[in-house]
Amino acid sequence: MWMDVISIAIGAFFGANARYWLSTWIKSRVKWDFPMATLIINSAGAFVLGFVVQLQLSFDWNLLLTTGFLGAFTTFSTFKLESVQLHAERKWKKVILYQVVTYSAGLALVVAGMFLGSVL
Amino acid sequence: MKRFLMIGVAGMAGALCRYFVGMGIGVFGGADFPLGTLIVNLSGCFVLGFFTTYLFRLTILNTDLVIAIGTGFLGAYTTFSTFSLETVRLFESGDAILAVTYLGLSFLGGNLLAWLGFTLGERRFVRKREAVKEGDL
Repeated sequence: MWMDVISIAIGAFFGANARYWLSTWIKSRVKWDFPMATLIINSAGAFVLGFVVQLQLSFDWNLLLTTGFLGAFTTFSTFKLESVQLHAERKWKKVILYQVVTYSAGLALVVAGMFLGSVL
Repeated sequence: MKRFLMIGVAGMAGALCRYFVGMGIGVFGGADFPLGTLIVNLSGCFVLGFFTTYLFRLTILNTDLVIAIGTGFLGAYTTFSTFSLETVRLFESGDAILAVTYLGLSFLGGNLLAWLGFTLGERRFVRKREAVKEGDL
């Protein structure tokens, strides 16, 4: 029980920071009026999760990386908030594009990550 | 350095909340439908929407705290990677109906609750601002 909590806490500490600093850096580089940072982070996280679950890691390492790091690195709330903000600015096409690309990339990249993990 | 620590600690708290809500719900939800992640993600959408248009606009929190709560806690509480994996696993196990239900509820519910939180927060903020203005007269 305590080992689970510690594993998740360590992973999440770094996962949350990785998302913040990476997203700050992406926003400073990509000046588009589109939530690229969250899209890149969520897509990358989905791919890595698919890969990691195929690696047969120990229970604690698995919790640290999946529930802790990747769970904190990727986000659902910011993704939906950004969609609502685009909607509030009446950028309908961008809302649709953002949602379609996020969901499609998420599912496709989990599968791709699983495939890569299983062949390695 | 301070921001790094605050985001990290808030992220820990968010991820552990997700884990324990998931475990608590798992007892009721059964193993085949990821009800825990769904409830975590939908509640997080509402709260982030509400905080963005209300709490974060009041001048009571400093920037570090707003980032710790919004990005650290709520960002770590909700998750996209686990949601994607659970959806793929439902499809894999032949539960196409459950998979589409999960995807649909996350998609519609997330949009609805983020919008609801955002709109309610906005209204509350405007009302509060009006009240402050009237108080000045």
